[in-house]
Amino acid sequence: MLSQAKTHESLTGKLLLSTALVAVTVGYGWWQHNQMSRQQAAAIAAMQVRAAPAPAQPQAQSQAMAAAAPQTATPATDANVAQSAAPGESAAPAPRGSSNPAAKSTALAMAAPSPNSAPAAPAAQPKTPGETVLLPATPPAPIPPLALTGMDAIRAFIPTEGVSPPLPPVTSTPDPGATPPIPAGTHLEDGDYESDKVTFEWGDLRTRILVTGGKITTVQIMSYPDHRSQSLYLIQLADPILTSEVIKSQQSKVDVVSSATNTSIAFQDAIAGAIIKATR
Amino acid sequence: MLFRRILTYRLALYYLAAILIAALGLSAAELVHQSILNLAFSAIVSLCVCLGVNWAFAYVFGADSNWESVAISAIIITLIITPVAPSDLAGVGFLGLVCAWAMASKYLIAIHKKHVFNPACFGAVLVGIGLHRDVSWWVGDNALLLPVILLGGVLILSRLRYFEMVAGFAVVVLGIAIAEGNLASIAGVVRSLSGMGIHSMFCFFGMVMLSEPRTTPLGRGQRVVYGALVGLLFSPFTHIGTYYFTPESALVCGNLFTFFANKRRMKRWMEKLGMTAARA
Repeated sequence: MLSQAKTHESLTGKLLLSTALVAVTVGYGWWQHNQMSRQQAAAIAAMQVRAAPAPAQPQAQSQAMAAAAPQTATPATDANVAQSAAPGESAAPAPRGSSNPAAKSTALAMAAPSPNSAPAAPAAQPKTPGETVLLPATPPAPIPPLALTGMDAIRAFIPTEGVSPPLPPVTSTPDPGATPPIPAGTHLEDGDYESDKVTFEWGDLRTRILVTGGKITTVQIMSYPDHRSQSLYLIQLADPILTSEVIKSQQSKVDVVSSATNTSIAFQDAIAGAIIKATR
Repeated sequence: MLFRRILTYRLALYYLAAILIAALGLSAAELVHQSILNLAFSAIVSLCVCLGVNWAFAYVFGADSNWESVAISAIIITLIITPVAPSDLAGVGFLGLVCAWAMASKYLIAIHKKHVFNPACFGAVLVGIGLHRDVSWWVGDNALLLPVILLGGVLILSRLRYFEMVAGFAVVVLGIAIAEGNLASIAGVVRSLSGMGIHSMFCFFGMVMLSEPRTTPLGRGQRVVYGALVGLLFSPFTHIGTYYFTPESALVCGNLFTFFANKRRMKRWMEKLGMTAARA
């Protein structure tokens, strides 16, 4: 890149330019940190406002929250909300299929829609039969990372495996006439089924289905690759489309989402595994 | 004959421009999920920032600069960072900083007037670590762009005679993908190969990023080792403790290998260090 030296080489210029670049970078980092802190505070405040009347009106819980724990109708308490809202806690692993009410409530609180979960919000609403889902999807707005300080920030900087919380469950209405691809004479037994771990290039993926009246009514991605931010981006991109397509078609073999091919194929395998578990 | 008369830098520029134009065309046809406006905006921002910062550094360092090299880096950065909307200030800032640090690295981290790291990857790694963001390598998971990437890549490799280096890289990456995938069936192996070979940034990385002449070892044997080492770190399964390498960090590590493997360069560098110490 560099070749012959010219007369206008300047040590002061080098120092000034390098310092300016560092200063701009630090300034941008500071600004971004502040932006994220504000968004995080707003999200926590919104969750607390929504969760506050929950103990008095347990029947008013959202459909998604009810679907996340059909066996345990634990109302969201302040403690549970605090558990999900505390920045350092959100990275804690959520036990898979745990019967611990507190742990389930944590997952419930995370499943509650928040302003930050823009990509999942449209899919969480039931779609009318026959409504078409366009592929490829609009790229989702990235969920800003938590604003952490001290040791939490250091811990969060080190990538960890499989600690991201489950994605919000998606509940929808199956298309009329859609039937699960199971052998004749068998049926899907009502209940909650979690697939085995499906390993693919970028990590592991596990899904959960809720069968009601012999049909898949709720699909949730329980664990997914989260080592790299690109993996998180792709799962946010693909999740709303794939889950709603499975419910509509009652099939594991749904269209692959553009740009998230590997994730889509792993998702199909995981759903197929859960359907096999539900077949009686 | 015409092919032989085109300079390598210019050939690489034409190659990357062809990929960018193809991507713009596919965006316009809505065959890739990136908005054509965002892609064009990102390309303009990258080019402007790279040219501006490069001019400033070239001025204070008293160096001649090669505009083709600058344009190559700008297009690479456009193709690996998810295109940003003009209203996304955080995204624009990230893009601009990656471009700025990529250009700065050519001057600030240069030994004997030769840059040590691949500029685009160094910028992405540095800003990514500092601001906790990764580049997406979005150009990788678009099978429709693959013919352009492969055709141009073969031309570049035949010019540089780097086939053995890319072969070393491919053997390691695909070998690990197969070994970590489903070995029980042919379909499983094919799936591993297609997942890594077609639906990831593998081809773009091998053809474009790995083959940068300035950061590639001199000897044929060293080039094979370099390709294999980068392939090992590039593989999604490779991690040190809880740290999972990203493609850009894998290439930066490979660049370090190149630097230390070049005995002549190392000797001159050590002599220079010794002279500096003696003066002090």
